[in-house]
Order: sequence, then structure tokens, then C-alpha cells
Amino acid sequence: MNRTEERLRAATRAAARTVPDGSAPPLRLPAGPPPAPARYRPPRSGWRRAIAPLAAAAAVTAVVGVSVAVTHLHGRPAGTTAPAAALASVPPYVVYLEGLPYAPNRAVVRSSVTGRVIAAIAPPRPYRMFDMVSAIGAGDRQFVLMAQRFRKVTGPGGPANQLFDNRTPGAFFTLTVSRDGTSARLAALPAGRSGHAVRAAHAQDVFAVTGSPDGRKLALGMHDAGRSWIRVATLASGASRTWRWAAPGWVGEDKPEWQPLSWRDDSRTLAFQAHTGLSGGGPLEIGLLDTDGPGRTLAAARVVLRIAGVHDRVELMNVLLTGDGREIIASVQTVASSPVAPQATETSVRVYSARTGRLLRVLDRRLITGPAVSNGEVWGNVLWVSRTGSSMVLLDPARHAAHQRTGWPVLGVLTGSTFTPMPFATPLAWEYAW
Amino acid sequence: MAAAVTGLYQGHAVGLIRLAVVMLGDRPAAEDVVQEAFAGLYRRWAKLTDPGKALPYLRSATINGCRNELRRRVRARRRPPEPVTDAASAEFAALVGEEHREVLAALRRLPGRQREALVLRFYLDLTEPEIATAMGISPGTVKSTTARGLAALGRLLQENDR
Repeated sequence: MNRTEERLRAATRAAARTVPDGSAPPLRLPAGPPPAPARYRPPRSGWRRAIAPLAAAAAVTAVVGVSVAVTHLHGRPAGTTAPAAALASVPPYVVYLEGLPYAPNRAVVRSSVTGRVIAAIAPPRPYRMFDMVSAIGAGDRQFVLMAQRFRKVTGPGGPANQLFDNRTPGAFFTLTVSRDGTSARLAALPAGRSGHAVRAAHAQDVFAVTGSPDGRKLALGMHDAGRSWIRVATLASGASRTWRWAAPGWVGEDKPEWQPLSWRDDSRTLAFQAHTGLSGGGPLEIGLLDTDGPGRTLAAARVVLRIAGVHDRVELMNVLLTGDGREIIASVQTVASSPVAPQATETSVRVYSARTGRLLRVLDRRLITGPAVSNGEVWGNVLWVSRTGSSMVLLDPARHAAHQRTGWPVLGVLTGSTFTPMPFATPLAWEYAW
Repeated sequence: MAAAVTGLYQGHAVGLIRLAVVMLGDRPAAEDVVQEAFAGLYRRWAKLTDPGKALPYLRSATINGCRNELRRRVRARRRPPEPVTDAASAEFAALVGEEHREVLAALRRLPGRQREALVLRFYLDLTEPEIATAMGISPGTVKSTTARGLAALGRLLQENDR
């Protein structure tokens, strides 16, 4: 344990000792039986009308456990019937990782339209866990996955570290869905093609993997010992280039369902996120890196967007560049300033110009009240966006009544103001790719 | 139902108040957060299929309550100070002692997610999977968030030492 850890451990324990044993005040429970679960109400348009039900809800404190009150601030209520066109606007296959954290897992391939499971594939031994998954190529049938060993190791650091092999390099695999869509095959990415850049990476040091639309490049976001960088490997030759982040802060993000890197259709321009400032608490920057251009640091990238207030008032989830390179799609949570719902969070999808950074439109604004207990950080997270930004996939646990029964996240397609739930949900999925 | 929740309160309230005090730095606010966490558990008790999940729920609710309270304070900075909170904070600082105050102050300068991960790891000694569950984030995020939080905390403390 280093000096900072020792001081932190001692200070937090000293703070805790200010609360003596047996000093908790009496519990004050609400009078009467618990209220019935809050029911989802179809939203009304406009802010004032939208918060009216919340005022009533606040008066009776009828927010129930993990369920939350959700209302749209603008636009029509999200639809719940499934127009086939919305589902068909998404690539036909999704791959996600399924399993408990830090346990052996598997990659599941499903049809986006029917939800049918096409394959469920565990990593080949000695690898036990997949860590990352990304689509690669424009054919909508190929994915790349990073895997690592999982074996019991001894040493300090607590039970989690003892179970987690964090030294052995990971390995990359391709997963290809058959042309008839009835099966999928996993194959090792040949080391000769991927080169040192891919072979040497351990999953612990990799925070993003993104395959290029032309299928020829693999972009890795990496960090180690407080430094971070982006590496792009050309699969055919094994050659790679590295761009380091040389300013305070880091590249990447600490978000669930990571998507900190995204390619433009030209397979040349790579969008990335950077948390600036001493502790990463400064403005979040979105940069566009020309991977064929000069430079060895990310200062070579063009910063197109700065978003202030991250961590304090604004939480950004995924920020994706559309394939045509014209727009940046950001899923955003902000502290809402509603007088009747002081703990409300507003979620929205913001669309910015990738050329000027100007905010073009705001989609799917919703006000969420109540304790954000159940994966609150993934509300409204954008996992995939179409080439022009007209269609996107959201991960949204609060969207659907089914969630309030199961606690399972709901995936759906947002087209305009219509949300179309996808025909499957699973409680143990993380890292989705289309 | 009320008896079950009260029993849990008797067993875990002090521990959760301590967790909230570490996060917030003042006891009255910490007690409010924990009260609200238990009230939330009471309201959803009928939906709780596994009583073993009550403590993880309470822990998550406490963390989220602290997050909301800290956000509320950010907004309140634009308004006149709240004397009760300030007094409580001053009392807390006096109790903690000089040598630890600097560390706690630096901890509170970190982004919320880093602060939460560090407190769960180094105060509660939770494992990474437990932290992932408590914070509602993916497992890979815990490791990177903790590492970045520690690095940032170290830099902040070095800054103060100069």
C-alpha cells in the first residue's frame, strides 16, 4: 500500500470515528402502509405541464424504491409498439457480453429484429473472460473481441485482485456471423496481422476497442500509471501508431458501456473523449484525430466540442461521431432545477455539429425523480448511432414498465421522438456492439 | 415489515451514517441521507424478493443520496450559505483532526465517481465486484476509476505539501 492509500485509509476511518457506536437517531418511517408503486404516466408536452404530476408525486412522496418517476419534457410520448422499420434501421446482429462481473462470461449474438439468439460463445481456453467487443467492417456481420485469462492468483490487494489475473496479456478474436444468420464462428485474430500493438495489451490497460468501418484498423484506448494514449493498429501489416495524451487529465471515460472512441465512415477520422484538468474534473473535450495525419500526441487532434460542468452538474455518457462525420451524439444527464423535484435528473440526447461544436437539437428529454439506485448512470445511454444520426440505440432501464418488475435494462431504438423497445432484455449484459 | 426495516436500521444505521459522513463531511446531512435510504427500503419492501439484497440496496441508496446532496450543494453555492451545514462541517473538522482534514478535503475535490470508488475501496474495503454493484457501473470501470482517483488524490496532496 502506498503513502496516498495509507493516508486515505486513515483519514476515512478518522472521519467515521466521529460517529460513535449506538449514536444513530431513531428511525422515522413514513406513517401508514407503504404506498402502491408509482405508475408510469404518459407524459404531456411542455415543462410546466410535465412537472405537474411530479408535484403531486412529491406531495405524497410516492417514489418507490428502484422505480422512478419518468416524464418527457418535450415531444410525444415514446411509442411502445414496434414498427419494424425502426428495428430494421439497426444493423441486423448485436453482440453483447453476458456474465457476472469478474467471472467467466460469454459473447451472445442475437438478431436485432427478432431477438433470436444465434450463438453464445465462451472464450477458448486458456482465456475465460471477454472484456471488450466492437463491430468491425461495414458488413454488419463481423465483430472483434478482446479476451483475457481468468485464474486465481495470490498476492496482496484483497479478494478481488486475488481472483483477477492482471498480468497476462489479452488476446483478440474475431466473431463472424454466417451469411444466412444462423450461426457464428469465433477465430483468433492472427498475431501476425495484429502486431505488437495488439499482442502486448492487457485488458486492464485497455479502456476501448473499436474496429474501423473498412475492417482494416483497430483503435485501442489505453492507459497505464496515470498516462493514456490511443493506438491504431493496421491489421494487414501489423504496423501501429500511437498518440499520447500529454495534457493534464486523460483520454477515455469512466462510464458504463464504454464507447469513448468512434470512427467516421472514412476509417481515417477517429473521435475521442478527453477529461481535462488535474483530476479530470475540467471540461470534457471531444477531439477528432486524423489517423493518417502527422503528430505523435493528441494535441494533433482538432477539438470540436468542450462541455463544462462534467461531474458536478453534468454527467456525460457515450459521445459518438456519426458515420458521415457531421454530428456528435452525446447522452447527457444534468441536475434539473425543478422547484418541485429537487433531486430530479434530466436526461437527454444532445446532437452537436461536428464542424462547429454548436448544439443542433435535443432529443428525448426526460425528467427522472427519485433515488437513482438501479444503474442510474446508464439512463438514456446511446450505444449505437446510424450513419446520419437519424436512428440510435439507447440503453434505458427506466423506460419501460417491464423494468420496474424485472430490474432488467431495456434496449430500444430512438427514431425522432419514438422509442421502439428491442425484442429482448437481459440482466447480466454489458458491452454491446452493433 | 416495519419491524424488519427497524431491525436492519439497528444493525446497520451507524455503519451507513459513517459512510455518509466520510462522503459528505457533516453528520446531520449524513443522517438525513441514511433516513431516506431506509424510508426507500420500507416503501419497496414488498418488492424485495431476497432479504439478502437489503444491505446492498441501502448502501447504493446511501451513495446516491450523498451524490444528490453534493449536487444540491453545488447549486446552493449560488445562494447564501446555509449556516447549519457550515456549523456542522466545522464541528466535524474539529473532531477529525488536523492530520486527516487535508486528505478529506482533497478527497472532496475529486469528481464524484472517483470519490465514491475510493471510499468504497479504502474505507469499506469492498471488492471490485461489490463496488461495481454499489455504484451501478460496469466492472471494468471500477479499476480505472479507482486508479485515476488515487493518482489525482496523490497529486492534490503533493500540491498541498509544497
